[in-house]
Amino acid sequence: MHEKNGIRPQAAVNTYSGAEFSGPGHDCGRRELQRVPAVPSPGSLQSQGAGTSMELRLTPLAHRICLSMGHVLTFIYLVGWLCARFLPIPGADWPAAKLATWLLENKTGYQLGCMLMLIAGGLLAPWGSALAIWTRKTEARFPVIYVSQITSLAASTALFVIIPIFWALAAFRATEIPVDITQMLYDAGWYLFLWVGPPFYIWVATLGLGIVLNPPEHQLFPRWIGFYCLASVLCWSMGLMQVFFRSGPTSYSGMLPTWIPLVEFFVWMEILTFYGFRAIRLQEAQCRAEVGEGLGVYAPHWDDPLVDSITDTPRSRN
Amino acid sequence: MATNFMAQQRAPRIPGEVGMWAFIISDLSVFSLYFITFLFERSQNREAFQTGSHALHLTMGVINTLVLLTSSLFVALAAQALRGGYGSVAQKYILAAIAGGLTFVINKPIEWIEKVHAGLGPHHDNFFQLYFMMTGLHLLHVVVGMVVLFYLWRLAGRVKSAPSERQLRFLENGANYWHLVDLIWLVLFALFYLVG
Repeated sequence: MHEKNGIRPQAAVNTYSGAEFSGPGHDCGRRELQRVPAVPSPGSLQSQGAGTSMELRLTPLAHRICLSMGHVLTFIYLVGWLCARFLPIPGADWPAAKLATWLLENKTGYQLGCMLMLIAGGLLAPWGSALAIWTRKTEARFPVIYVSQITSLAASTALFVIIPIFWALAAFRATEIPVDITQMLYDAGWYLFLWVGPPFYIWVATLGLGIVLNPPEHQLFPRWIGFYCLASVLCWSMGLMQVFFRSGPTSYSGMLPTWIPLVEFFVWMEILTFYGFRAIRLQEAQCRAEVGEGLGVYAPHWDDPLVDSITDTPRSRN
Repeated sequence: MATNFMAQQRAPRIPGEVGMWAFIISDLSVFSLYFITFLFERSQNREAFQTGSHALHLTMGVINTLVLLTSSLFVALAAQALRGGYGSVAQKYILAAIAGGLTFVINKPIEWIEKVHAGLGPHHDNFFQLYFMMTGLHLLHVVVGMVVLFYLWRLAGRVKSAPSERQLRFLENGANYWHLVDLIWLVLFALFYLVG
């Protein structure tokens, strides 16, 4: 095995389903030095300063829990959408009094719907992280796209949960306060819904670029997923146009800014979730191929010994 | 040896890569939904859509169509030249394609401004709302395409003999994107200028 600068490359490249890949936690940034089609030994990994062997194994359960939040988010959000009776969406051209009356008549279901959408919004972070982590390793030690992705994901999550707060506020004192204030809060919710796009665009575009621009032999996603992410960003960009219209197909209740991007978003989310689970399976196969203490796939088991909190070692069973 | 050659000849090959085709299919699907929205809105108010269509400058639309089609032809010629290793020839073709795109980018706002001054802005009715938004999104595609063409031009400058596989893939991906822009415009032209 060749060495460079005294560091022995350690990328463990394996063949699975005809595609080459390596595990995200295994190369520790030295992949770019040389691609080695070999499985490293635990000793060699530790001697290269890769940290303890505990850090090198995969915990698929955690990944799967985070990733499954995609399905949960889709389900809860869409149920919330239906509970809020956004089918059809009360338009920007509705008189304020009509809107306030509509909110009052549907108050309970509407507020329940807002609450569900709020809960679903919070699930964006674990789901997005479960995808982002696979693009982390391809950038090795200088993961600028990954960091952009994570920061944009955090901003998107924060904004995503604010949207239903404004919608819920609109209904909170509907008809008890001047109706134009109710309408303004409702409009603010829609403005947020369609105008918080840019952090979402950056997040998804960087996810796509993380797949397309980086070495394909180390990707756990097919390259077309990267291109699909970029195309999705173009689709969602139509949401920004709602600012110019209060009625018609380009207003916030119309097809172009809301309905088409909304449907596309959840289809995209389901496709990414499917391929995210596939990535975990590929990584599991990689980790299973590795042998040694602390390596491979880790799954907590009821028979595992408890760990002593002082010595940080497994307690012996008496 | 001969068997390998025959196998290569028979092997199915798509220009560019699968990922770019996923992009194209995804983008075309979204635009198809826009076209369906247009047709639905048209069925709701046929008269307004016919009036709006007649108010558009058909000659300008035809010029824009010809400009984009010619530009696409130049990109195809550039691809052919680059495959043969003629980088400098390909560069000239790509410049011609960029000139076509630039003409479109200048023409479109002139057409929009003329309509707005005639009182037919995006707020006039649903026809013009869709006209401005859909042609606007298409214009965004053209601008992105011109950035891609610029990178293709730079790439062509580096090719002195046969291009590498990676260079060829990038070239074909870019050319495919430019043809997509062309295709979307053809449908937009038909819908707004002819069918509307």
